[in-house]
Amino acid sequence: MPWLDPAPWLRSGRQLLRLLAVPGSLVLYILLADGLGFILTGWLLLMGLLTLFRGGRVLSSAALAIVVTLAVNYAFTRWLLVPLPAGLLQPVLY
Amino acid sequence: MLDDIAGALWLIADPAVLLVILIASVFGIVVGALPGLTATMATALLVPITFFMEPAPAIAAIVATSAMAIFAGDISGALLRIPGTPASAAYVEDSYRMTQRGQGELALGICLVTSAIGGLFGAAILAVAAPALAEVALSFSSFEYFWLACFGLSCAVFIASDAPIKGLIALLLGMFIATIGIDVTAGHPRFTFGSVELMGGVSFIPAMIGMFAVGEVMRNALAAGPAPKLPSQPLKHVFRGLGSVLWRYRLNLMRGNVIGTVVGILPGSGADIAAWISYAVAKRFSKTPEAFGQGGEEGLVDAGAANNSALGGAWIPALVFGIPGDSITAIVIGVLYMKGMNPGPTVFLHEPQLLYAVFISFFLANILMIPLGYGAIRLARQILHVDRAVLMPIILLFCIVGSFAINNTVFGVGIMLVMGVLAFFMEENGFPIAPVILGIVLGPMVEENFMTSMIKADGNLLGFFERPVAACLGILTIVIWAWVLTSGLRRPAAEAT
Repeated sequence: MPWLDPAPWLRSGRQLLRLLAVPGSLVLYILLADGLGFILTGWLLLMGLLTLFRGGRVLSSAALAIVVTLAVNYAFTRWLLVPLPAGLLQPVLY
Repeated sequence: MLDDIAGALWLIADPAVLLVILIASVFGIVVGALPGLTATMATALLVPITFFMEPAPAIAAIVATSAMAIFAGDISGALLRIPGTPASAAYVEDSYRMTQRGQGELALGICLVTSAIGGLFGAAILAVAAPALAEVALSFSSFEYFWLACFGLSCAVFIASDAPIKGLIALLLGMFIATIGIDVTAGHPRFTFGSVELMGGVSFIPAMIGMFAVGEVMRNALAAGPAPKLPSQPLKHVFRGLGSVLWRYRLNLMRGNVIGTVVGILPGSGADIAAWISYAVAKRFSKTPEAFGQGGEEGLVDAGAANNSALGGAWIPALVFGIPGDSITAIVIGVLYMKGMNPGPTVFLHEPQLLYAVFISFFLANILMIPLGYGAIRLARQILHVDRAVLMPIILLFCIVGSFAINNTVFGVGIMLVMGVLAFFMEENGFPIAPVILGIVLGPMVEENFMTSMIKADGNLLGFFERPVAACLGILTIVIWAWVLTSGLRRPAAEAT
């Protein structure tokens, strides 16, 4: 029995990229969130993932990402009072 | 008691709570109907929001979401041959073939009504059995709780899983994760590597979101493709011809209810196992077993009722002993502990209103299932049209915020990341992940009760068998262990004869 039995997705570059994008974006969030703030980091990550998963269509992904991020930000900071990091947007938001 | 029921009605009848139940129901239907998103994932995504609610609406929301999600899993099963949640997998072949024969309306109607009836039956058993059992449980001491927890975990691994060794490894992994942090009795930090954040232990909610949501997002990232084609038949007259089918299979319906509730009560086995078992039983005792898997209505009635009645059953050990019956109630118990309410018989003494509120929300959710489910079937095309490539990144963002919100640190996101990657690799290699969550929830309970008992018995291990109930539970647990250990020895002999 071989030590490693690679799954089909290990051989497909596209699939592997999409898979790694999920933990990768979490790592990026951990590194960037405190500096950039939730809105900018969330927007960048969402835009990247949407573009990757839908295979292109950068502009519509960017638009959708900004709407979703702002909605999530509003719901959690205003209704649930979670102090999401404001980061670079601190002077604009408050 | 009547005062408590009135108080509970008052708690639920609040318009805000009713609105929460309605929103949670719609959320559950959508998540359950979409293939790749499970009822457990729906609960996991809901938890960060319920964390900020009062206990009554929080629990009502979880009850409504899980009940609706288990039913809604049938929709994509019947229309796409992809079960929306694992609980619909047992009879997906039958419901899909009915759709192909042009009986999609009838198939979905059966699923909807048997789900609601099963859910109501499970809720009724819960409302009757839980208070009665709680009276018994009040006399339990740490010895009994230690054995109950061991018994529950053993059931989860050895009875409810088809690969006991993999289940055991998953369970031990969960119990190991539970040991991280300050030791409950001696106050000594364990496995913290000097990290201040690990001293408090691995936070439950980020860990759970990681295992049930991030792991699933990763799996979906591999699978995402063009949306599957829906059959073009109309889905309007959901209730036409339903009465005669249900009357013909009324005994099947009852049998599905009972099997589902009992399987739900067993710790570690939930709606999916209930559906498989009752489907198998229905086929075994059917006059026409050849119709099973070919689009027969019989198995649909049995298993459709069973998976929803299992939900109510699972809450019985969860509320009475604090031992979860499935992964959804494991999440609920984790949430209750975080709210400072320790599930167990004392809740029946101190907060009976909350318990009646749980029962009422169960009844309400299953009655609400008929109109909402009917609406969902009418709108099935629109719901199933939602693009998963768009949904997955949004779910991931939601996970990030949810795991951050519990302690307001990015450390929670880190925990979620580690657990998500772990869950992905476990599932890829056939390891069940529910035992990990059970280990995390029950690990501290096993340890605390063991240490307390040892102190009380002055280090004498025989103390665990001195009280009659403890002795019975202990012997039962040891019999299960012995049976599993010797099964390897017995198998070759059995094959030789």
